[in-house]
Amino acid sequence: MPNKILDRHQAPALLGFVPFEIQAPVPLTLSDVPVFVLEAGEQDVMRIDLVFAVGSWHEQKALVSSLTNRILQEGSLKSSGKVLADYFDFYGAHLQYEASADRSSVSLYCLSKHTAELLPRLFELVFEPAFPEKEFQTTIRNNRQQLLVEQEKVAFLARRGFNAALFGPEHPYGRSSNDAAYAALTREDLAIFHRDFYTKDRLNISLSGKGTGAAVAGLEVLLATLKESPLPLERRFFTTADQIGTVVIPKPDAVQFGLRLGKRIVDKKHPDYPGLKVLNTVFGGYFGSRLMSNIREDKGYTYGIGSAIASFEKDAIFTIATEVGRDVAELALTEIRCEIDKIRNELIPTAELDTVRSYLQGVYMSSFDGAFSLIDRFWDVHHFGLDYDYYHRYLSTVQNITAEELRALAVTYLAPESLVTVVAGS
Amino acid sequence: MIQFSKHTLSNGLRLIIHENHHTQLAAVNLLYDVGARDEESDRTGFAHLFEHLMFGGSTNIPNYDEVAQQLGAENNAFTNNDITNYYLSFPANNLETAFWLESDRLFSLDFSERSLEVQRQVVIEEFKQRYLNQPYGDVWLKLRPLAYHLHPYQWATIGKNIQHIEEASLEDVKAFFLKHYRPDNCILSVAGNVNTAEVIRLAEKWFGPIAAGHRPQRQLPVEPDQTEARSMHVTAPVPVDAFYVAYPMPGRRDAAYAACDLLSDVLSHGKSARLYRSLVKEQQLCTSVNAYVTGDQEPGLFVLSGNLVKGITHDQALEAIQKELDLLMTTLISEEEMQKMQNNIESTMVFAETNVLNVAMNLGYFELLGDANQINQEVAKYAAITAEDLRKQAGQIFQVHKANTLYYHAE
Repeated sequence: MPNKILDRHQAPALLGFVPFEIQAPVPLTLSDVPVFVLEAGEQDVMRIDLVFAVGSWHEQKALVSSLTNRILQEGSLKSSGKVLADYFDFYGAHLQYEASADRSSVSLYCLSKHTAELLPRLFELVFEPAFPEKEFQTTIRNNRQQLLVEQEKVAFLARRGFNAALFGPEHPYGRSSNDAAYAALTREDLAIFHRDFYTKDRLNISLSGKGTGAAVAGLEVLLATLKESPLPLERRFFTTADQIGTVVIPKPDAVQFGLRLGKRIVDKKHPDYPGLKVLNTVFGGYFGSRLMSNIREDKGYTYGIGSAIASFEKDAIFTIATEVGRDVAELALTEIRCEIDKIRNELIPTAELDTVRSYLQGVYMSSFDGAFSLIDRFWDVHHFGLDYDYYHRYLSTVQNITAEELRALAVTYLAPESLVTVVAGS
Repeated sequence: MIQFSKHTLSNGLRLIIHENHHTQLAAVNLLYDVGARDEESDRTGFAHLFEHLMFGGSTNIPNYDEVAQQLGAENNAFTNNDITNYYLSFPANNLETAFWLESDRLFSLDFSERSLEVQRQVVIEEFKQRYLNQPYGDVWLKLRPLAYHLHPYQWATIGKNIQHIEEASLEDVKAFFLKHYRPDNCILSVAGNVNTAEVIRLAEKWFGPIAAGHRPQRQLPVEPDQTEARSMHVTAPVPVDAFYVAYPMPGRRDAAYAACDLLSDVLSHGKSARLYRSLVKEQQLCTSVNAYVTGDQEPGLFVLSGNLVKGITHDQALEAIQKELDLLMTTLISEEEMQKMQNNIESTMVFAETNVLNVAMNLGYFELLGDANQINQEVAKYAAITAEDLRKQAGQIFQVHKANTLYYHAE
């Protein structure tokens, strides 16, 4: 037993941030393809990312790029979709598909000891797809039905309306799936997109985990067989919509409304971006944020509310998002606007800013934990043409930005009349 | 293989420590052995509402979240029918602050009428957001009472209805706390860049002085054996028809649990799994299909669910499901498929070790099941299961008179 009464009122001293070196991947060039190798971690696991600098920016018809990515797994010239699925599942491996406006990727997660068997199959799946007609039809039909389910969700309706309001429904960043676009697709659209864009000259690869050395050797053989694209990589030009005011999306039976407010904002390459990340955290970017403290923890209007800044390659958005009971939606909107006024007019108190600094430094450290996080952080800057200097600037901003500077950012970037408000559910 | 050590404080608190010096982080996990099953049938949703109140501040720390944020922590909690679990993951150099935070709310949670009022509203909005305002969101509000008539698993963690949440009083809150939130009802697990001796010192310092309670002895009603198939039809504003079939199955501590878990993998793990191949790809009856076990401590449910392709009837899909179940009951699974399941278990276990928060949570959970060291025996335990075991187990579970079927009809 302790020989004196413990003083629980006395908080243990909080130790400050401990600087650390970021482990960067080793860059290689294999058969003219950039390969980034990050050897780290204790467990015998491996992740291989095949990343193509191609997305909906480069498609001629909506959904072509995302469906091309999605249907790769449905069969190759050598193997049916079932055979491929059996193969990856047999080894307890997992494939992840991502297709955005800016890029498309396929990632393999597996135990390191299985990499040699799986790598050739991964290349078969990604580079020799057959796009079988039957599987294409099944996927389209299932996606169309899933879309019906999504359209019953106010959060989905609000997000779709919001992206279209900022960029316009045709813009790669404003597009979303709709039934007519599915109906207009053919398997040839996908096959052509794949032929033209899933090519060696658009490809970047990363290997992360333990035992990457053996995988590099296997990779070199496979890369030698790939072809270059016959076409230049063109982005079509799109104008943005930048709608302001209020957009109402009807859904009469909704118990809650989906709300989204926001605007286009400067992207990751802009010098103000790190400061805006700090500002956003104070405003709506963590559990203790002003939006959460006021609208959930004080008023109880919602289960959750938050704001975010997300950067694409060519643009960025600031978003406030929540779902609120229909009876309190108007009150919630009023409180959101009050919080915008407050952050633009008043200095953030020192204690609050210090909490946010500590919080962001802890999150920063956690975001580099483990081989897969390290490679994610690499891609997070590499995709933008940035390097690790971005992280040093970001950390320095978190540690040093002043309340005055944050208020100035709020004045510049968060003018209420520049935001669009989307209400789904009324 | 996860190395760890186990200690019990004099007040009954169980402590598990895993050192990993490859990370800069530490994870602290507190598992309280209380969940929705411990609620009264006329006051449901309480364990979960209480979880929200645990963030309302304690005597010496009026604002829990603020300190957690100063720690730079990823921090949250969840409640299910069995347990309530709180966790933090943060830079390891501030380990003591996490002990201060977590011990203070166990030592002297601040009961405030205001916090109760607000969190009541938040939970009601959570109820609406997750259960009422989503297509098929109310499935567990319907399926549980269909499958359970006596056992408290008949209600969902969120509660039977909003009214129960509205009626919770501060007196209920205090009584619940004093009954269930005691050191001897808690498993504290710590993983990451920590030193075992230091963790023990901190646990003794901050949790040691907290008085033990009288660990509640559970006396839950036993669900009688189901003797007739049950079904329920719901017409709802959902875009497509769907079905959910639930069969009673053994609890997490039962020797037969692992075989049931494997059966659900055979049916539904990955794109090569049987139900997906057959119902979605070959026969084109469903747009999606799933099989899973609830993984409850007490006898749980083996669930099969699917969304129908437009124009397909429930009967067509359920007949195809039945054929797959018949196959499991009559025909041995091939050696290759058995090996696939085994490889998957191995892979899942190794990937789970890459994150210290996962490790802390899993150690706590396995300790609750009986012994944290079972985590290191999982792969061998699953490897010992034979195709014949699975065939027998399938025969035990998938009996026609034990099915509970929920039909969703699109309006």
